[in-house]
Amino acid sequence: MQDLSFRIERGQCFGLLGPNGAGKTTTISVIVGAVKATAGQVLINGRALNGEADSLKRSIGFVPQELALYEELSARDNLQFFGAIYALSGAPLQGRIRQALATVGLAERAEHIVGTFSGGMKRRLNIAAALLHEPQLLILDEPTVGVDPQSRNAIFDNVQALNRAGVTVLYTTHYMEEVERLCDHVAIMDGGKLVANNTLPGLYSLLPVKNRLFIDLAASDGSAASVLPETALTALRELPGVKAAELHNGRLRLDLNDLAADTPGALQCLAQHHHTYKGIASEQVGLEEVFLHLTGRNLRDA
Amino acid sequence: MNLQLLRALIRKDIKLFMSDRRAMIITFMVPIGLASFFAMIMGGSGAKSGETAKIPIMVVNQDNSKVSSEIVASLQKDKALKVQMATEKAARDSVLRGKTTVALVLPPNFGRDSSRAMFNGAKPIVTLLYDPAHNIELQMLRGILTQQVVQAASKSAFSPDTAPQNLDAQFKSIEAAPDMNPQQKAAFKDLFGSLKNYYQKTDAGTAGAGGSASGGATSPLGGGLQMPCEMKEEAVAASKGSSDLSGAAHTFSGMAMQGLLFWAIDAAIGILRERKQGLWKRLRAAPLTRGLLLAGKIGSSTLISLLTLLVVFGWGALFFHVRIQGSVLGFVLVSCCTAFMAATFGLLIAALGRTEQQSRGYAIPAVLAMAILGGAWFPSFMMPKWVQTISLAMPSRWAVDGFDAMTWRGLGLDAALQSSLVLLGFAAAFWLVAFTRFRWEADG
Repeated sequence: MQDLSFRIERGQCFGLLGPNGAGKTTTISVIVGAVKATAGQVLINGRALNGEADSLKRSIGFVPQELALYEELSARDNLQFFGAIYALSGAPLQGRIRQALATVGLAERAEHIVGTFSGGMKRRLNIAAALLHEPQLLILDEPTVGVDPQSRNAIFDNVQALNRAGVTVLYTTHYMEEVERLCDHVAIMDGGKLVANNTLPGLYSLLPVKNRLFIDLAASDGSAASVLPETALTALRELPGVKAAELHNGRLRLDLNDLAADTPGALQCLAQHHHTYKGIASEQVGLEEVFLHLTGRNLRDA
Repeated sequence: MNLQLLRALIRKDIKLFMSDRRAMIITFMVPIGLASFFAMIMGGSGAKSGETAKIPIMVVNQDNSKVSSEIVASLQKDKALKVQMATEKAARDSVLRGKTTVALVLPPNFGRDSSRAMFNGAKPIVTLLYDPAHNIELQMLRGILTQQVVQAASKSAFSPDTAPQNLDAQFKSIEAAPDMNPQQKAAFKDLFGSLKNYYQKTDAGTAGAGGSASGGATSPLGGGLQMPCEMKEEAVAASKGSSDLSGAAHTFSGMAMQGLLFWAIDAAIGILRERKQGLWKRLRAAPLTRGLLLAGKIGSSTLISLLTLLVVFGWGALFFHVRIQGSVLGFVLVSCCTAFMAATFGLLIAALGRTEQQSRGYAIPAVLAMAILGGAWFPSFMMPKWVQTISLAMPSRWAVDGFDAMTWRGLGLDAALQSSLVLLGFAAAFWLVAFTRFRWEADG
């Protein structure tokens, strides 16, 4: 990690996005006190951690990337232990266990051995173990790795519900869709450095292009057309609001500033060059493009 | 140190240990099984039904005289021997095949020649054919045989039947001796003359009374030369009877010690697995110090080790009459220190190994070496002197010695203190190295 600095506001859902090896887990390990930084400091509620047993750690709930659970024990026994290390005991602990299991939808499986759980259930229990002491800040390190879509949605629902309930969330992932769905503020890391730190709209505003239009061309006889004369492509590129025009396998891709304003002009231009189309699709550019724009590499390939 | 948190850490590990019943039973049963097996081999069965195994020997009697027959009869009566008569060829073959440990060949004319040899004749040669793998039995038979031959040959030499002829032979021998002066020759002639007169009178008297001419009972040496003393064997052990059980007690001490060291490897593997699973990272995110986390591991391992000792020695007490003949407090002290040492040893393995495979790779040979050198398999006094010296650097040696001292040796608390202090020293060293070398962020 180099020159890494960011601030998370109370009640925020903060996404830390980056490819594998970007330094997200190390950053989190430093924040929770599991790894000591060679320089710099982490302030929680304006105060730095003072020693390993600092009670300030009670304000943090940590969900590691690994399934940090004792598979030989039941869900309840696991939670009893993870509650006990935060000095919870007796009836309050039992109450918190019930509540945490209910939050992640595992109330019925309390007495079952964790080793018999599905991957998704283990992931949810992994989160429950971090909720017992009612932390103000919940840190989740890639909590959906290896999870089926149904469990993933359940985890998203859990995170959103906790955030709505006032828990500040720090969520790391290399899936941009997760950050786009959950987070209102995103920091992007690459190679141990912070390359961006902004709200989602703020990140999108970094891009010269906001929308992309895809047009599947058709020949005059109705069959798919794979060619477009260079003159037509040049005419499209010269249209105001069109930033780029590329043809690939009969599909024309246009980068537009404003989808609503610029689409009619593009279609009219095609008609003027006697080209029809059989399908139109559009998309808003996302964090993938932001990452590509900032690092010159695709997030998925990084 | 927060005792509530420590208790939670220990309780969790105990739950984990208990959760896998099969593994728990194996942890107990392996040392119990090995100790029981070795104890039975060593004749330490609590039932006391097993006699010491007899040494199978063969006797080739090529003489068949009264003297050789008496020797054979005496050997047959010896409770340590199982005697079988054979020809020399059969005896050689049996020894070669390992079925007989030693074969004794009494040559032709052994009786006559051995009697004469008591005075000055040529000695007959008794051959002992032995299996090189059974040197100890050879030494034992040689001792028994010497006693029996001396007794039988001397009895024959001084019997009224043969003594006069032997004495006549001695007269001739004295006459011919070149290195004796006349006074010396006269003195010996007087001595042997008196003996000859005695035998002639005894023979006449015995015959007149209708007794047997060979009635050895009337001669002061008629029974042959006797051992000048009786041997009384007394094992110096804690109490009467405990000597029979010392082998079992030692075996249980050794195997319990070995069991703890192997448990330490399991505990170390468990620590490495927890680290790999991210559990240590999660624990370190909690308000716990590293010292407390390691103390929790040591606490739980110590308790599990103590439980193992309790089960293993309990089994020994129930089925092999292993008893604490010495200080009970001392036994508890040695047990606690041994368990503590094993727990810190486990932590040391976890600290030095990066992966489970790596840790197993070096820990298993290390534990075996510690067990063997420490006297877990066989007592350290049976080892060469230099190995005994090296074994003092093994905590297992001190543990086994401590258990031996408190069980069959029946020593007091002071003996336990010595072992315990050394074990605590080892534990402190293991702890120090483990704490400084432990890789907390291995999988971070």
